Amino acid sequence: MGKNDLLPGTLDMMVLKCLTRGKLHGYGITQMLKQVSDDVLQVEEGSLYPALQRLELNGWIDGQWGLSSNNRRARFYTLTAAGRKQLASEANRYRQMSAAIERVMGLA
Amino acid sequence: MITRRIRYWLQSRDRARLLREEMYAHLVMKAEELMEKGMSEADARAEAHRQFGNVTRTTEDSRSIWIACWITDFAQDSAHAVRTLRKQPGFTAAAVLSASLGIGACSMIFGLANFALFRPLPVAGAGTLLSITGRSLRGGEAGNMLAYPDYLDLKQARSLEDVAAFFPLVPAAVAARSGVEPQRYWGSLATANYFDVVRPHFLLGRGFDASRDDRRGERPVIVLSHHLWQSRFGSDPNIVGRLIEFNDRNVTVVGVAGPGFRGTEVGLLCDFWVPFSMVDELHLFTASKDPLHDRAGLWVMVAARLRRKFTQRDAAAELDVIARRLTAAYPATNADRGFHAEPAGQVSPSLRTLVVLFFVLLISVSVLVLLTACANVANLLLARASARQKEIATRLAIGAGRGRVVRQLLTESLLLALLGGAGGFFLARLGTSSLDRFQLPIAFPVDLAISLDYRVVLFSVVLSVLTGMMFGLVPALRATRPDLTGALKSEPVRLGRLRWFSLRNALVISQITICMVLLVCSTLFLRSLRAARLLDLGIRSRNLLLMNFDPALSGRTETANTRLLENILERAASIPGVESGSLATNVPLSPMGDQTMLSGDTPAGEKRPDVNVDVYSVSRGFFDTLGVPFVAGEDFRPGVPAEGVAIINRAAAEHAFPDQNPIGRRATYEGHVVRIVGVVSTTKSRTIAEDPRPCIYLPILRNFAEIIRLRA
Repeated sequence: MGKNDLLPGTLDMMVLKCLTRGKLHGYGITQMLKQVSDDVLQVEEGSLYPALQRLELNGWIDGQWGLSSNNRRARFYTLTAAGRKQLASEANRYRQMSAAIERVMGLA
Repeated sequence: MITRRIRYWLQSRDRARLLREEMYAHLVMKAEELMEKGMSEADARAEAHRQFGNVTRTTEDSRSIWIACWITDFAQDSAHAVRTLRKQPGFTAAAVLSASLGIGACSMIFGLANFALFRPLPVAGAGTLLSITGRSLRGGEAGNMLAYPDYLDLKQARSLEDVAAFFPLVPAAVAARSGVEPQRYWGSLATANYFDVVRPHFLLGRGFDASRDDRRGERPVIVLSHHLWQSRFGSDPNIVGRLIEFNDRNVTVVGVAGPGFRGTEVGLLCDFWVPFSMVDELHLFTASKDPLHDRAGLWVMVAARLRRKFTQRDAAAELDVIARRLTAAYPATNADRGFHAEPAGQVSPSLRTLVVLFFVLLISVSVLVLLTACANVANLLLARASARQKEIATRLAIGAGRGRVVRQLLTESLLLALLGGAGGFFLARLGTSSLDRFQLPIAFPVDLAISLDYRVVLFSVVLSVLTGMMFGLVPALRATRPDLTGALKSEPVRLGRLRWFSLRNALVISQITICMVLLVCSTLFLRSLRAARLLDLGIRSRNLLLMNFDPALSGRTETANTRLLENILERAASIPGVESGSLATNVPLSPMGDQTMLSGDTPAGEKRPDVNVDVYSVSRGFFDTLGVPFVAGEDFRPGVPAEGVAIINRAAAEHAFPDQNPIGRRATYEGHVVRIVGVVSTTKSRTIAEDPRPCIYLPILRNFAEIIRLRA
């Protein structure tokens, strides 16, 4: 399964969304994406990491080292204020876009 | 964002390691989950890796996010630019040459200005070293020399830790040991605390002993410059403590100054320093004067070290107080004498305005040259951009951002500019090194060894980048704003369309305007140079050779020296091809020379003001050799004249003997009475622009004792 399974440009938005619930490590994010989408969205797990780096570089998320539930060192990401704003604008754009696609596909 | 990017980039090695660790943790968690579902450990690991994908590529992808793409882009652009420029060698050569000339002119002038105005002295704590000069209290520029007693009074200043005096133009015959042919070098006479105040680096030994070396009769010592040590003493590492020959005397070398230190005066190269205990032996003054107690004689320069926690302003205020006190105490000599303090190692204040104006003029001219070069290259780039329209249009059409294409075009112009900058720096070096080889026709050495230091390199690089931006930006913006469809359809698209005031027209117009200004300026310069060359100097300078020597330093007796001079003259005249030869203490158009007051005797005993005359001591044949015609009378007779005789020029005759025939008349200068035997036509004496200056010519063979005085 490739990245084609995802609409391009939506991964960043979904990662940001996942983090609104609280801090998560990379593995946790993939788990959440899978669970919430009922296994429809299968991210190639590796491709998550460049995305995380990009988000962090843009200042939208903040990564801190910590211990996972089974006492393993992992990097936990939290959403920053700038990230929240970015998520709002991306979600808005996504909604407009999908509504437009919906209307086109709804043509009889 | 930018700072974060730079931080990420700097930490990229650490971050890559942490990222790998993070991904490894992910894999372990994944494998654990799979094992909980009942997979074997090996299978679980394999499955985790499969689902994760390529770890290395992921790391690379992440890294490319931190290491800004512009770096890789830049590398790409540079490679592309090199390729493009190599494909068009003609264009590249023209552009680089233009840029070289522009940048080279600016770099050279900056190098000169840097050398003359901004070079720090190679001494410890250059910031607290002051130079104190005299100035008129009625205004006017500082830069006068001071009297030695004034210097002693300056030592009272509380804001000054210590004060040293020196006289920087002392000629001396130096030889490694007796019996070796001596050679003339120029150095400084300095107070014994000179090196404690100035604090240059010492290569060997030390400076003077401040507690002893000023006292007369003290064992004579000398400090050598690095240059003198290398050139005359073969870099002898054991020189300290050795005796060397100095004006036919033995003096002990106590130290060798570090390379680079040639005294504190800009442009003057000191080769040795001797202490004030040797003041009498240097024959700097006539015996009648007592230079160490005479307040009227202005001859020393002063360097001072600022005390800690005091500023130059404090020092200046205190110097004013001292000057006022001296004015009150010695109204005869100090009525109009103030002091001026400024950081040492700068162009003398009396010259500074002139020097700065000179550089402003030169810089303006070279900036104009640079602007023309920029306009020229910009035009070339615009013309080329029209030719490359299709390439650019294609790039834009297949999705390259405009910024990206602009960046790529700018990289090209930057590369051109940097090549031009390198060429320019080379030209500047060529220019300054040819200046270095230029020998000024004066006796003492003047520092023209202009080194282009890191500041000049930096200047050239910054100037290149600015130049590249200047000539590249507008053409790049222009080129990326084409009519896409037209360009793709290979229609002959014109950039900027056909308008009266198009960009290229504007460039050409400004280029022509600037060139006109430059042409007019250089024509004016050339004209005045030509006018100066055609000016009647009153002497025939063609086929005239000049040799400089200083028999006064040898310590021989007067008669021996007279014989030596006669001998030299005889032998010179016997060299085949020599038409005539003569001796002189000074030749016309030397910037320095002695002056005296001359008064002609008046039959009626009426009092006429004395005439200020330039003094030359010359041998028979001087006027013949220089092609100066006699107006009346004749040249000196051969041999040593028995009585005081002199020749004057027409200007002196007109002032000292108005409306009379001066031949056979007597004139007086400094108590000496001379009979006028000849009148010659007036020559230029000091500068070519002067009004006729009265001159007196004395017979050199008779006035040898005088020469010693005149020389200084």
